[in-house]
Amino acid sequence: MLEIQDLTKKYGKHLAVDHVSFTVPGGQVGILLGPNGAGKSTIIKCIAGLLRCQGGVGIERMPARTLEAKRIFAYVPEIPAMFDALTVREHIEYVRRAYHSSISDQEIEKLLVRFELEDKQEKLGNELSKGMMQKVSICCALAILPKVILLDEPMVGLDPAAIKELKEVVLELKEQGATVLISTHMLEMVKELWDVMFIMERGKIVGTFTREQAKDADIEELFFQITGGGESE
Amino acid sequence: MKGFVYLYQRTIINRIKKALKRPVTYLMVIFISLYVVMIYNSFHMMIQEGEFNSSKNLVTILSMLIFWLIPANLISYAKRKGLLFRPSEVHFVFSSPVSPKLVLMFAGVKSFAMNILIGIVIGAAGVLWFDASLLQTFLYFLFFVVFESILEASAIIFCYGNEKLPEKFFKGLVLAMYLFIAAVIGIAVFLMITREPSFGLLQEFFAMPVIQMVPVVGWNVAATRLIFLGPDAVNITGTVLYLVSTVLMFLAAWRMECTGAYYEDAMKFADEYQERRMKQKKGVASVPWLEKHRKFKRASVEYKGFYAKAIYFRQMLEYKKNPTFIFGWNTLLCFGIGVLIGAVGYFNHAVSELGPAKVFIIPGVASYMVFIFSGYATKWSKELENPYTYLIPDTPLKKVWYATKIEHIRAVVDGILITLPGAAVFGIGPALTVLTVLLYVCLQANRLYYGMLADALIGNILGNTGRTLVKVLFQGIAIVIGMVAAIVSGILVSVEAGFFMMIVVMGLLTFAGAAAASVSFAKMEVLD
Repeated sequence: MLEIQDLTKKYGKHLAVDHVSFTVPGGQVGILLGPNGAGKSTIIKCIAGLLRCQGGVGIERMPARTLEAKRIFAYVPEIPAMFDALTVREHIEYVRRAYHSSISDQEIEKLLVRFELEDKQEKLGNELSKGMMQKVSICCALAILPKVILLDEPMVGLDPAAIKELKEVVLELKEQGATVLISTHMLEMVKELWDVMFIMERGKIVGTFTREQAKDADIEELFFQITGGGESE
Repeated sequence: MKGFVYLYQRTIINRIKKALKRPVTYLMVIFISLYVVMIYNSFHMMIQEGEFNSSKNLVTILSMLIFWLIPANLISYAKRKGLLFRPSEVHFVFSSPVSPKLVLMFAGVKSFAMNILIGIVIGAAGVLWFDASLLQTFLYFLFFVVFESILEASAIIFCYGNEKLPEKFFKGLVLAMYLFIAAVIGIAVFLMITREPSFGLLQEFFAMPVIQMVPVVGWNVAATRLIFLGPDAVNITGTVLYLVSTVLMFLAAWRMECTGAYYEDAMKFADEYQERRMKQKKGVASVPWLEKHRKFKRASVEYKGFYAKAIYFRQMLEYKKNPTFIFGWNTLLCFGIGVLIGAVGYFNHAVSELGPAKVFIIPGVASYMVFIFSGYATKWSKELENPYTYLIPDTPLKKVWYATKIEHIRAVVDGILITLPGAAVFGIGPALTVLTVLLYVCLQANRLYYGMLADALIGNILGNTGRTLVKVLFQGIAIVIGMVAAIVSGILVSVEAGFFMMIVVMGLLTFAGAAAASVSFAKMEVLD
């Protein structure tokens, strides 16, 4: 479960996130939607503990900044950054050790095959294309065997096969009881994934829907109904 | 912790493996070895002949370093810019289940490793040059590597990890450190003015009890004096205070609560640093403060031409929006050098004793400047990153010319600034002055196009160092050919003819270089 309580983040005088609260229950997929500049990435970074902010973030009922919470938490940033001198396989090995993850070698192999990285294992971080970096970033997050995972614009730069695979992975994580939060503005990509949707505009949550509430309503219609489209200031 | 150990281990192994595969590594090893031998020999000779080889002198040098480095380090840590985090570390390390203090130590390892290296160098210098005993150098190494590193680690945690003290406190700390450095420099300048400037004066300065009692910095000097010069009441007291402060700082850092609030600043700095690195790789000198505060004016330009000419007019439009137009730091540097040449010529009579040969002073300094300074990438190099440059329906040679035309205009202005003050003082005639300016323009153009050619020919095969060496080699050859032509014409006809001939020969060679380098403007692929 992921709980956000009264989260507020200011950059100087600019209020980027304004008293935001929401919860993604365990075993569900939450999607954070919003136009550019709405504050989605800021919220994600606050949850990941990268930004100073006011309010509370709970991961499986533990404060997010505790080491216990971090052990079961994975984060896929919008722009992946690799270690120049580490190979793809070494990135995953590093994550396995840093998180003391119980993922086996066979499971790692399987992950690499799923994301078509098996023949790129020995490539160094600075030899990867942006799409490949994104795949490695996703594999590293999955290697943690997380209970809560945040994905910030995860489909950007991925090829169609990888997007399909990622969608399947998200559904598998959900089946295993993990909590998933995806921040995106690619509505089409998350249509079949979501259980709960949070629509953001100008640093605030302006709409919350569960799949039951939305019934057969189209995700795009819901989004434009609330935001009217365009960019946030 | 296991993750960090693995990360370091693999990074070092992979970097070594990669380096061993590159031929430029072996060239660099040879170059560095020769450089070390050369430095050792020249220093050895200087120290022995100057009878500089006493422990007292070593202590004075170390004291100067201590008074400079400790406040400078503290300033960088208090500004939260002393530790380098890479975006990859932000991605993989900050969110991992590791104590934020340990993350700081992970970043600090690079500094601590540097302490070990500096400790070894000081130890070797102490034994080889300053008549220090093995025990003294061993003790200093231990002190420098162990206690200094503990103090530095504690300072890092105190400055980065402190989540209770307000931002104002750290701003005050930075200001206090700047004031401290200013005060020390002020005292040193005062002593230099009021007394006979000498190294002995510095020795006296650092021997003063009040200096050795300056918290942390002075205490460090006291410990250094105790190790190399033997005990006295002041240095024993200072050393004890240093050790006690180190232990107290360590305990305070150990007990301090840190949840990782500094990640935000570290992340911001990582992005800034990454951006600066990318620009440096492309040869663009970047001052982040200036970039952040740069404002563009409104401007317009009339395009008097089509195709490749449009590149020139677009650049002109960009420069017109720039508050300093086409000028920058380099213009100031050229002006400074020009004034310096003039001032030296005016005050130093040795220059006027050179007679007719004095006309070569300005070209000599200008050539040295062009040769030594690697140059700065300006708008022309950005053209190579723009796909439209290649798509414009015009010849590559024209594209090269119009993309670099403003560089030549800038070179004319810089050349005038370097030449005029000296020319006025040395009494050089108008014809030779114009020729000197033209020679500077020619040298700059030569550097520009030969650099472009080296990039196009070598690409990434030899790395940045290799590319620079090839550039310098090309330029060196062109300058030597130009000089030979100048000397021959100078002897056979006149000095003016010599200058003119050098410009003609260099101009032709430069044109040939530009024509060959225009391949860079034919295909974007050349860059890869």
